[in-house]
Amino acid sequence: MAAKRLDKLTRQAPRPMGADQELLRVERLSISFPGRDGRVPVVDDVSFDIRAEEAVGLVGESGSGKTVTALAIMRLSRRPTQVDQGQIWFRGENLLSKTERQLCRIRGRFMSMIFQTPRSSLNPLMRVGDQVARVFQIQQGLGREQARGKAQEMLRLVGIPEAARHMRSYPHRLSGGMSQRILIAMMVACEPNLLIADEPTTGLDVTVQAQVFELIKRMQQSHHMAMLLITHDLGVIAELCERMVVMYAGHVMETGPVDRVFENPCHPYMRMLLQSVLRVDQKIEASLPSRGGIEEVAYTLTACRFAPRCPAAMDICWARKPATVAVEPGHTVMCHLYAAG
Amino acid sequence: MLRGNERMDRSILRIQGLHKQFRVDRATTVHAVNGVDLDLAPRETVGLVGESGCGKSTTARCIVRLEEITRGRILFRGQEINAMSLRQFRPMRRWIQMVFQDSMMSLNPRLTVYQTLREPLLAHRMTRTRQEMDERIEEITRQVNLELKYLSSNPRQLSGGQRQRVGIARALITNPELVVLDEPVSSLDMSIRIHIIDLLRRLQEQMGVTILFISHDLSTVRYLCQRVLVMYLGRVVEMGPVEEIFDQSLHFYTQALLSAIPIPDPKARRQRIMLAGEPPSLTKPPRGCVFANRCQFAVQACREVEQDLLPVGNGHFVACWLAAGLPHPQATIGLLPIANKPPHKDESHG
Amino acid sequence: MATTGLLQTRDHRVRSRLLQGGRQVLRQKLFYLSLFLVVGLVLSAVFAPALVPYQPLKTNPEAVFQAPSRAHWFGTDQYGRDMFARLVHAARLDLIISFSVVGLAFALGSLVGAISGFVGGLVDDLVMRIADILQSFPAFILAMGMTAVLGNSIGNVILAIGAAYTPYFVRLTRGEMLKVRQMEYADAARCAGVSPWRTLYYHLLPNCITPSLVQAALALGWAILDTAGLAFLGLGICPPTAEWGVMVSDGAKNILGVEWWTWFFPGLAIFLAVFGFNGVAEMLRARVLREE
Repeated sequence: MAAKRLDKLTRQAPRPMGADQELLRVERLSISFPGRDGRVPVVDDVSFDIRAEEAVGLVGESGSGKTVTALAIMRLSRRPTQVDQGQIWFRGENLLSKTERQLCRIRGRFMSMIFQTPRSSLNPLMRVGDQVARVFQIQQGLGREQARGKAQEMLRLVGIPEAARHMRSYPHRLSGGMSQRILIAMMVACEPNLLIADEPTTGLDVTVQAQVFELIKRMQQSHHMAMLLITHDLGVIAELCERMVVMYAGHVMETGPVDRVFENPCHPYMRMLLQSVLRVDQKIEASLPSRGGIEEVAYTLTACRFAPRCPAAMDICWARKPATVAVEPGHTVMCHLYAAG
Repeated sequence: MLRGNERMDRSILRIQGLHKQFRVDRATTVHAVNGVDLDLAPRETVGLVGESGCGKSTTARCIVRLEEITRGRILFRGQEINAMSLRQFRPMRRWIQMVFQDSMMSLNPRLTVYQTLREPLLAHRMTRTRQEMDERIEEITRQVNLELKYLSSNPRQLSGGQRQRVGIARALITNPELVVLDEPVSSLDMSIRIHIIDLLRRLQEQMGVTILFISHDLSTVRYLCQRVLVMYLGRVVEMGPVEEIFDQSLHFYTQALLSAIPIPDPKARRQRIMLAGEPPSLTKPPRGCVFANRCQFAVQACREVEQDLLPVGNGHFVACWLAAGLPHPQATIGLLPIANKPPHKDESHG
Repeated sequence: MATTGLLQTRDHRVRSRLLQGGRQVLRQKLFYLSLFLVVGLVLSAVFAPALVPYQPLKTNPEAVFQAPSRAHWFGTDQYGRDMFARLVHAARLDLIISFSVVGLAFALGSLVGAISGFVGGLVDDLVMRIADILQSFPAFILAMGMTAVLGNSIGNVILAIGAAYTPYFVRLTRGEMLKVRQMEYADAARCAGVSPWRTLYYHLLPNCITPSLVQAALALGWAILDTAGLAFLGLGICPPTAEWGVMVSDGAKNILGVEWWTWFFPGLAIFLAVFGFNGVAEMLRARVLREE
């Protein structure tokens, strides 16, 4: 990030948002890639929202479009990925209509993202302490010494032992878990309103994973951030999130409070996920999901994309896309089994 | 160690005192495996679990002789395989096979699936005619639930799950007695994982192979294995039947490991055991118990005396005098009082 | 990644998009041109000598230094020999030398490099030291030295330049082999029981060979340059043999004079040949990159 002179506006503290106020609203978002025969709609008509200080989990298998959606929210999508339609409202403003310059002011300060591989997100040529300090310099316009001080404080906060010494380390000297903590330190430094975490513990050991999630949760609560946690692991969702959004092949299949969705899974896909998940605390005979993996043909369907794998598929499922209905307050499903009429 | 002679005769694989060290440069040696004993009975499915750096992958590679051991013995069907030359060992590879973690990297990108599957047959001269070979290849392809049309495909054209099926097919095509699987499903999606695990279960029943399943994912191990060994820093810290290890683990590390796994049930409240500190470096393994620097019950004796696996009944062994309920190593000479056992892991309630 | 996101979005600017597009089109055209040149060269080397009415070595004192005309398309040289005939015969000779040199260096070098990388240890050390020694001289100087010692003949030229090029192929293939040897599929082949030899040539070698192939295409062009260079200096191929370097050497005497056709056409031939091979090599490289 080049040190840019940002105007006074962004250096002020963000407008305090009361909890429960709507922070992010994704409205009918569609994103496509070029494919062998034309463009493939990898995200199709996706809508969901996140309130301030809320932890929302975005769950789906690979190919479900969750990472693509997150990148689109941060406006980090690269050519040839293209947002075809829809709106992304953040703090009342449409991100899709903003210029790059405006987005630079928003990223980091109001929303930030943690990626899967911390190693590739850190600059290998810069000392870790300098990288964190840089964030303070750019976002809050602090001087070098001041920024360094804050960076060290931040390192201590995220649980890096011997913070003063590690300030001078280079990323390759750190373990995966420590690198991810540094990244969290950087992304949380400016107390953004929204933190997006895309599978932040891929490749990390189980015990380290627990530590990282505990850290993320702690940061989220102490800094009053909302969080969008992207994962394929239902256990993580159950532990960390309040609400969840289930995606399959670019469609949102079910959304709702985590405990409601786990207790009363409505969509056949969600049911299948719950039935096939292996638990470490119980030896349940898990049932086999039907022919695992999102089929390529799913992306071309204009009807329900889960139909090829759905055990309850009816004729109408192949003909028309279901409407999204609420089965209980706050709990919505997109499935013909629940469609009114 | 309580192992009867009969068990020794019947065991398919026996590892005694396996040590493996890697010389990084003149000054540094990585002690990857520091004394592992293992005993596999025919048709057993045994899991080897632990986090990165614990030595499980290295142990696996030593078994199939992709690495040469520094010290110890490996006996396959009673024969000491680590002493053989590679050339002598090669015919035995027919009976000991391996499935690798990264299905993309373990399949040669320039060979089709058919060509990849052909190689073990050719290497061990298992078929005489082209037709026999084709038949065998088709048979194993069907058994792993892979459509025959993929035989002429390139690995790049297959999905992760399909590639892993090819890897399994390649390992099983010679009808081996022992298959070592090194994290075979770690890179696969949840919904595909269970398919592959289930496939392994079925194949084991059909073909009667012995499976050594290496993983860091304890939930899959619970589903598939009958016995489990938990490794930490190159040593086995706990070993026993799967239900015992998961529901009544004794070693503090095992308990911490199990408690760290998120449970897909929002109502399951859990007490997470957070481990302090980092594991010691593999280049300087600690003198006493490998886990002492992170264990909240550690006493001075723990840092001095190396812990061997102690029996606690029911085939369950733990490398900790405290967890095994034994008197403190120095209590017997009246120097220190006997300490209490650490609490059992909280059962998580559904 | 956040930073690359910021950089990436500058693509929006229209100007750079046009530039990118234009560059692509130019590259495509150059590729086709190179291919056309090489194919044309090979075809003329194969067929033209039979079709051209003049003999390359036949002197004609009455037709000395004739400018290009209908009778002599490229004119005649100081001995009245038809330039065009000499040129196409030289093409044949140069291409034969070039392909032989590269064939030798590529086959030998790749095999040695692959074995060296695969086996490692003392063998690898030995091979690398020999390669180091050979490569401590610039290829051309080495070829010069060898030709001087061995004597001037086509065979010696091939040997000399081939020997000078071999270490490059050894290095390239060895490097790839070192990389490929650590791949999981190499382990998998070992586990499957495949013999070391078969692992080397069936499983690993095909994955090591691509950079060498690209290099080979380039080397085809350089070999022509080196052969011509040697001949220009009076080593290797000597007059009166028709060879581009010899012809340039002869024509160079007239560089300040009127008889431009004596040095221009051979020079142009060398230029076009090298340009063509370079373009083809670039095409191969782009293809390989795209595959990965």
